[in-house]
Amino acid sequence: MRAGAPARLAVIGAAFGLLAFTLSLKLGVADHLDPELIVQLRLPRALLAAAVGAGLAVAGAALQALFANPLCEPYTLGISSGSALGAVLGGALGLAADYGGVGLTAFAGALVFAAVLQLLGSRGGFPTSSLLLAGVMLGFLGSSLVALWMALADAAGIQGALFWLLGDLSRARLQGAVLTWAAVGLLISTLWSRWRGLDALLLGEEDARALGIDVPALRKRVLISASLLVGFCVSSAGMIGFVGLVVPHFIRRFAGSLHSSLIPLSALWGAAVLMAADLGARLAASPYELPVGVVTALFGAPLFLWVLTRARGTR
Amino acid sequence: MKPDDRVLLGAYGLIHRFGPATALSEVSVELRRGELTALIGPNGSGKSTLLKVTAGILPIQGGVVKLQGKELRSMSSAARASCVTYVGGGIRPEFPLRAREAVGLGSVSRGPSEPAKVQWAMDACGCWGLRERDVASLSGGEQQLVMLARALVQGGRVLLLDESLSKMDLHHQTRSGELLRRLCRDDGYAVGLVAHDLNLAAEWADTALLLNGGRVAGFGPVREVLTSQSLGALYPGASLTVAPSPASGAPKVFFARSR
Amino acid sequence: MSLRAEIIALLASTALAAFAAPSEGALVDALGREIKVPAASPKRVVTLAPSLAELAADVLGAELDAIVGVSEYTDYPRALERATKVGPFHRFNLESVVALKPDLVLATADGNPSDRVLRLQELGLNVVVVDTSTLAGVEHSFRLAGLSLGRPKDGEALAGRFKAGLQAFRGRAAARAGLAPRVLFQLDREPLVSVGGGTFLQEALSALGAENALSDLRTRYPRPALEEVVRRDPDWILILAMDGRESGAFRRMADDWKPFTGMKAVKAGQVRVLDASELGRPSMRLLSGLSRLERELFPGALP
Repeated sequence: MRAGAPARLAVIGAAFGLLAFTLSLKLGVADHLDPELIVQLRLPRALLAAAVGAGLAVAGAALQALFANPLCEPYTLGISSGSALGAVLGGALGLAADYGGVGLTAFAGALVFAAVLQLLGSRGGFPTSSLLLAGVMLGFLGSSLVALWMALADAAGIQGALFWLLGDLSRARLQGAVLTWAAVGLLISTLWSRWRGLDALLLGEEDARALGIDVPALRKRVLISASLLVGFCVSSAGMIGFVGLVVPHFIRRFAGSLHSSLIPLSALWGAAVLMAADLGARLAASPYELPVGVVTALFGAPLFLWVLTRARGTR
Repeated sequence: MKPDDRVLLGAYGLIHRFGPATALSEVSVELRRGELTALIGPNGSGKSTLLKVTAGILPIQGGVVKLQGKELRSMSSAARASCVTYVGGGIRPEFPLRAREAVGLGSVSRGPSEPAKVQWAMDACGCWGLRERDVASLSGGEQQLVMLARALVQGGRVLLLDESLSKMDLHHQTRSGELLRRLCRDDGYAVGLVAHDLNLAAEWADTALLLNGGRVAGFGPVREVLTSQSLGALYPGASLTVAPSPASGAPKVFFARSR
Repeated sequence: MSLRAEIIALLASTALAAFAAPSEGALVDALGREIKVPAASPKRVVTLAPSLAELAADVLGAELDAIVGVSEYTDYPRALERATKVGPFHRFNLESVVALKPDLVLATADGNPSDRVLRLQELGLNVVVVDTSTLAGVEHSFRLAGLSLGRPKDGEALAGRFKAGLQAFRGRAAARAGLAPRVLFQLDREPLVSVGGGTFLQEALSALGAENALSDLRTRYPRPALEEVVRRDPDWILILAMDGRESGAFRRMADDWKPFTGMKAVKAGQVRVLDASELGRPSMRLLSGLSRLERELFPGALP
């Protein structure tokens, strides 16, 4: 009955992803574009969308498992706020808005916040629920500082920051996209290899310990990997919400919560969804570009609500 | 019969504090192969804490725990899990999880899933028919059956049950009790059971450990340990009499209304 | 060689050297690149800001066909309203620009996102970046535009005209020495957005001999607290209607100040909405915009 669900979802997801990728290359504002320019402009963007979509979805899945909280998503722990703050400071220092400039400071910001969180969590006996709250507080701190800067800075400078915060894949360059792919791929496999521990956490931390999982070690590894993932994704593409929260839930509904399939399926569908969303963001109101995060939410939220109501019966 | 050989789990001089409160004060107990030990005591007497410390869920703050002679502290989480299985009172999964998947989690520290074992365990517990149901949709009693099955899959020869049968109906309780006895008798399990119901515990147990205020108030064969005096000391204010059951000879606790 | 021949040779070589060496005043754009007259005049020009379209149109005169792509809200000259749009100036669409296969892209450091402009360069396009945040920069932009469009003389002439026009204002301002009204420009309400230092608007004000009430603020478009503005008590509060239309929104901004009867500007009835459609453009029309501003601030001044 449901036995083939993961496989089916994988096939559909791959087809969806392939379609989105192809259309991302073929379609655009310009009806006809030189192949060389397609490689320069559209290809990096599609690649980046795929990497970031996969990364955010997997980070979301892992964090939801770690904190046993369905509302968790990559931004709950405040690491993205650290990234935003880093980017903003980079911009204030006059750094160029590319991987080497603002991207670097954004990533540094993510690392700082992640390190603080890790430090808190490594104290023996620091309960996971407190860690979650600590992360939320860090997030508030970070976004307040960002808001502070926005209040004090040039009105013109805010436009750029605002679009960055809403998610901006336009800065994609081939080299950077490949780098992000490598990093995201590595981190996703790290999290995937922890599928057993993540599965055990489905029953709660106590039961996970009883089942023989070293929970503190697991927590540390998952937190580090997820933080790095979020750091990479947010540094290269700004804050794209929704994907990290909803894609894992969507997969669980149809293919169950076991992480040996949840993680790769989340990666696959996250990539496909974000590529499709970016395509929509580019085309829906051209030559204006919509922020990607807006597109993902506008389409995804109603769709997910529908999935929620339909799935009532099987429970 | 060498006493050392038969001790699958030995806890000696356990001390545990939660902040300023002392939950366990020099508690020692031995769970032997083939024996079902009931842990009896009022609320807050340290029963759960004892189970959790010996299962490795709570850290050992003082004292020693040995699993078949090996110190618990020196064992890896996975090695420990293959020796001792802890089952709590219930689960509240946040995410969709089928019963058979939950049962399959028993082998998670070993490696990939073992469908044959899952089926055997669920059959033994009488919940195979629930296998495709989502755990969250099951009743409390059904969930507990699933958790029991999970414990069987995990396979540790020491089985620690912390009010794990409390929500089952009478039929399933007795069935589970019989299962536990069979595991002890035929498969050489050592079972430690915190039971919500004194009489059920008394019916199945070979040995009893009485705990009061974190201290051992009695340990030994159940007929010897469960007496009106000992229980009266544990539960002052309750008017109770202990007498052998007409059906099995096991001690039974009779409550009387206070006049 | 005879002495005379030597002298002639010396003079000749000096003259040659003067031509050969890069001139000291080589024209450099905002990215620091030296702009030279191209071999062939560009036939496909994309402008990334409305003022740049005006700039290009001024240089090209009648040959507006060369302008194939403009940014949103390019409305002057009117003929350009029908050109292909490449998106808003603060976030123009890379693909749109690239698809037009331009041989010249005019960008401004004062408004275009730098990472996208650099991207265009990386993709191999010929990008010239002007910086119109100062009046000198505006004047320079005429030269740059002229050079890059293959019409250095026209560019130079326009620069001259602009300079002369500014001079006229400055001259009249000098004559009015002693009259230095303090002006607050208002761009928006809630929050109040004004104009600070480092903008051509402030310099334009100075050219008229007036002073920006917020000249000490280094942010270009600061958002001062209402109290701060009240404290500074400017003589004039001019609401800049950038699109020229006296819509209700701007009237409301003016009415917002009515309760502050203690302020000089309110008492003197000097809270006005000003048509800034020309004043707000760092192009030749800035001069007529300045003229309008001058008439507002100094009624009775000669045009």
